[in-house]
Amino acid sequence: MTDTFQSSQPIYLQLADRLNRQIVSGELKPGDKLPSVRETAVSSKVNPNTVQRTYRELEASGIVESRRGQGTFVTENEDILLSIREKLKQEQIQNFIQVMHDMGYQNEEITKGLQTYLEGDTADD
Amino acid sequence: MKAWLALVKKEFRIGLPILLLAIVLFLVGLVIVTVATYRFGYAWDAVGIIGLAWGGGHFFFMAIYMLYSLGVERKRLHLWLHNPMHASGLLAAKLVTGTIYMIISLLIISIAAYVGGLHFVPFSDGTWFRIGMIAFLHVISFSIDFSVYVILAYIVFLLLERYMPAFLSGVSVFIGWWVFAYLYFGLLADSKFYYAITEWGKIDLGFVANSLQFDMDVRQAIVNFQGEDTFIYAGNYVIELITILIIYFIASWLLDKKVEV
Amino acid sequence: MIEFKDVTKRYMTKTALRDVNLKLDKGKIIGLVGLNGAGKSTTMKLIAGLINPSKGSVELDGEKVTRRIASKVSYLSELDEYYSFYTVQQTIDFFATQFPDFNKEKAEEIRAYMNLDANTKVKHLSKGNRGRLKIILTLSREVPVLLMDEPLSGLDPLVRDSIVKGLITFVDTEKQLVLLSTHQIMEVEMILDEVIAIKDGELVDHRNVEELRYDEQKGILEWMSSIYE
Repeated sequence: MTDTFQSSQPIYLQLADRLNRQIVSGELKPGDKLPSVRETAVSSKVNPNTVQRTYRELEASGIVESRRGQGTFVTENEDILLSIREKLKQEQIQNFIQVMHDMGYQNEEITKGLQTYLEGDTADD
Repeated sequence: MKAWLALVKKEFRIGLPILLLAIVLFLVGLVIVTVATYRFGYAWDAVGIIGLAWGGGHFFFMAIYMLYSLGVERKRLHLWLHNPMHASGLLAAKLVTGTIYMIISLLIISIAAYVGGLHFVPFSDGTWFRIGMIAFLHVISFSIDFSVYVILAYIVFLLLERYMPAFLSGVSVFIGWWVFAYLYFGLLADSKFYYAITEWGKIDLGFVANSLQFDMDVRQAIVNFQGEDTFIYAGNYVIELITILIIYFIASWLLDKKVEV
Repeated sequence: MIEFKDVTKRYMTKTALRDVNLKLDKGKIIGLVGLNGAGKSTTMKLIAGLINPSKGSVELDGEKVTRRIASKVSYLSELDEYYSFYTVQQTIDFFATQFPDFNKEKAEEIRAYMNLDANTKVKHLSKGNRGRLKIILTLSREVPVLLMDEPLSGLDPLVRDSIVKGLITFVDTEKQLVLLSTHQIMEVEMILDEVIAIKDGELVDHRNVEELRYDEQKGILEWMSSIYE
């Protein structure tokens, strides 16, 4: 988590994004304890207040839970995890499609391209 | 109090060069006169004379000490003044350490003056000691007294320095100093009012030598004491004490409220 | 917590600060940015009570600031003059005696973290190590206000990095207010809650950094260049 943030976007959102991905990818597992605010602040070199805000946001979305006096934990609630997983997927696809459309690609071209790419990908494995 | 004592410790360290300088200069002087007069056989008398002279010179000890010590702080005012302690405490730490150093230096000199002095003293031992003590205490108190005026002058210098080049500030303070000296000694100290408030509480000191006459040639040194029954007024001392307390208060106030980093 | 009311600071020939109104809250790391001579140091010294406003007032918790506000403020000057006869350890010990809120264990922890030898004489320290010493002395105090005037200036990137990390590690962002001036914006960009820009003695803008990013998709550098152009 030491790679840098974009200075023109809110850091707390970028950090939340990063943690969401770590949870979805399984790097952080359900029930895992998140590093403390200060640890995260030091390792990602951001203001502890910012990390605090990120944790609050994540907590509001339900993906993490804070337990009094113990710290912050990744939720074990499957429904929430699934919905976050779904949400991230939608976001990525949306971004991708947006970029493709902006460049003038048609839906068929995109689907075909994706299929070929994914098949090639599996063939390479 | 703990903070202040720690500050005192620091001040000892800052002011140490002045004590060493005083001692080294004295020893150098001592060696020079001893060597120069040894073959004529009055080295001891010379030792006594240089002891007295250098001891008298300690009238300026505190002033020089304070100028040096404040000079060290001037380069790091942000450090010295960034302290919750009252300015009077900051200055007192310097005065106390300076006084202790002065006493150490005077004690060393006293030994020389005493041992040397015995060779030309026409008095019985007791008188010599008594005169020595009076001189000792006067040099100490006058030196401290004088240095308080110097502190105020230095703080005014720091104050003006923010508004003009250091050189101009120095010159202004120098002129101000002499104007003050003229007003104080030339006008006030000569006035009926001043006599009225100071001339009370007469204390008889008995016979005190108030001048020394040296008559030296290559073969001998003759020292004549000229003295008389001397008395002092307690009033003089009390008024001076009040004056320097006021000066000290003004200096502290300026340092607290007006001096800028 | 800290409030400037119509503060003007004039010197003989120039006005260092003009009609500045400013409010700073606790629990924030605030950056003070501007070109050299814009009035950053003047602002710092006013809060530390080491200079007095020519006009207006500076207050901390409703109390007029004087030199003796030092009991609540830890001030790091841009100069690094210490008592040269002391070693690092002696300097730390001396500071510990002068400020009742000085936490010696914390000082030791930061010293070890900064990798600064305790027994080196201050006069033999390199510029980078003097910078580290300043950080130790300033951060070891448990005071409501920390003022750091150019803590990164003139230091090499490794030292700057360790200082920034030291700030994140050792500042209590819940209780302490940190005001730091710098022109090394890149280094501190990620740790600032708020940023204040001053230009020619006037306060140009005072922003919450995350809001700035959210509202205008701008980082501090872009924002600054829009102010200074």
